[in-house]
Amino acid sequence: MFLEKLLAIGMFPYNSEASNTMEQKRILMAKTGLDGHWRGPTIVARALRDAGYEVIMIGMATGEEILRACVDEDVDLVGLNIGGHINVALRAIEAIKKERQSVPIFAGGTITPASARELNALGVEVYPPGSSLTDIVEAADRLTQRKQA
Amino acid sequence: MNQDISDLLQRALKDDRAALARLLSIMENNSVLAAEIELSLLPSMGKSFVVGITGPPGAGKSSLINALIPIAAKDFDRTAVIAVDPSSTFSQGALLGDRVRMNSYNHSEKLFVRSMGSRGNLGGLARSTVSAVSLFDSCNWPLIIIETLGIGQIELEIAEVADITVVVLNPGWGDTFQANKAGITESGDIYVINKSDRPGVHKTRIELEESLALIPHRSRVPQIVETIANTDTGIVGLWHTIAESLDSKNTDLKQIRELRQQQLFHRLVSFKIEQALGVATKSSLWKNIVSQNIENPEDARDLLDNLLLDISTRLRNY
Ligand code: B12
Ligand SMILES: Nc1nc2c(ncn2[C@@H]2O[C@H](COP(=O)(O)OP(=O)(O)O)[C@@H](O)[C@H]2O)c(=O)[nH]1
Ligand SMILES: [Mg+2]
Repeated sequence: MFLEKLLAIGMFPYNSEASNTMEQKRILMAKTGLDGHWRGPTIVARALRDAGYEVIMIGMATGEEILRACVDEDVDLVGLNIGGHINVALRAIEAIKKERQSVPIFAGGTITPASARELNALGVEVYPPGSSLTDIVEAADRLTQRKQA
Repeated sequence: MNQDISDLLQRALKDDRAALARLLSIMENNSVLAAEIELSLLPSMGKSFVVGITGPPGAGKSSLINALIPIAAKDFDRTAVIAVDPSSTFSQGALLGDRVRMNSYNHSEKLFVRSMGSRGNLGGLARSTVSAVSLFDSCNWPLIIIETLGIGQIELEIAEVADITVVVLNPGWGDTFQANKAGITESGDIYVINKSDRPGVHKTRIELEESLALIPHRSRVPQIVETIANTDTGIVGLWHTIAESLDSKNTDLKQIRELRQQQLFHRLVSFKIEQALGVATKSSLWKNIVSQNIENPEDARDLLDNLLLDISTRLRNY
């Protein structure tokens, strides 16, 4: 009896095979412009967290800092929040393509249609203002090849 | 151990950051592999100092680490930071935000920041934090700083991993944490009153001194340091206190190495036992035994002996 009780309250943390392995996908979220606009990336990061992702926030960052975080944090996906100019984003994308070719990138925020086309051409998916969070989470699932629970 | 992992290990030990980063993920995702990796690291570990920084959310732990890094760089060639944030118990996801405050040296080769979700561990550390320490240690990161949430008793776990534990509080702490006073003051070697630009520093210091005086069996009364992390005030003093505390603990490297090895074997043994126990409890033997009626103490003792015998047989067959 007592053993069943212990099992029921989870006294034995390793009693299920599943607890030994838990593949958790990780996403980097970086801001590359207009540092006052943190609402967008924060809302997106929360939605991703609620969908089961570990989201590593780095705030405003340069291209090199984004690459460094991408490598050290061993992320499965990089998210760029863009505000207006895409120069920093382009540097980050170039660096990641060179050093971590297998890591996909997606982006959102205030992006002009012309910039969006430029990013698309580099293989970066763009989610402009008004995009649904469901679509963004689905994109993350697809880009990280996460198995659906 | 599989070939991929030995390759990664070889590369990580030769200072390949991407390999090190990948191994950290593997250890986070798979505790069996983590145990194996750690075992193979044993000969190369025991060279680093580990400083734990703990305290309630928002106390300024990340900001303090950010300010300490350039000063610590004068004494240590390079620094690894493991920053643990809580995972959501609903989604298992996590928002890992410590890096936002550790931005000023992100570009430096001499700094490796790794964010971790606690992934269901209640002790304030992720289950794999200790494994990560072993890896950084083996890969020649001579200073390892762990940031972890600590409220009440929870930060005790960090004290088992770190050579020095720094508890970060703010002015007014006594009012908010009244009920937890005993808990929060037990494990620290150094206490920081951060945000001392705010009112109530003196009162907080006195309350802290009073609570610390209540703790018995302390060989050394912990030091209290006042800081303002975001203006670099008191940071040099804090680093001196940390370095001094490392010295006064007589933590020479040989001793640290022995302690780490002892801890590692402890963990690996209890891990193996727990694993065996996990499998055992699913067997029909265990299920049948527990459904028997136990009528006197001898029966209970016999039952326990039987179960222990079963476990030891299983362990021998590993
Ligand atoms: C609220 C707001 C502000 C607030 C910000 C509050 C905050 N904490 O975030 C305040 C008042 C601070 C502000 C300031 C400014 N703002 Co403003 N602001 C806005 C406004 C009205 C809404 C932004 C918002 O929060 N939307 C809600 C969020 C949820 O949407 P979002 O950020 O677009 O995110 C969505 C997608 O883009 C996407 N997404 C976002 N990030 C990411 C990341 C990834 C990886 C992915 C996949 C998806 C994704 O998902 C989200 C959900 O769909 C916009 C106009 C608009 N309608 O967009 C202007 C706007 C962004 N602001 C603008 C400007 C110019 C400014 C100022 C420079 C104004 C000034 N002259 O002072 C300052 C800049 C301050 C600074 N240093 O950054 C311009 C930007 C123009 C440009 N080309 O960059 C805009 C477009 C207004 C305009 N039409 O001129 N602003
Ligand atoms: N006024 C003041 N604010 C501080 C100080 N140190 C940190 N902060 C701010 O407190 C907030 C939380 O800091 P953070 O380092 O993230 O705390 P953590 O959760 O303990 O890691 C941030 O907004 C910091 O800028 C300080 O000494 N004085
Ligand atoms: Mg923090």
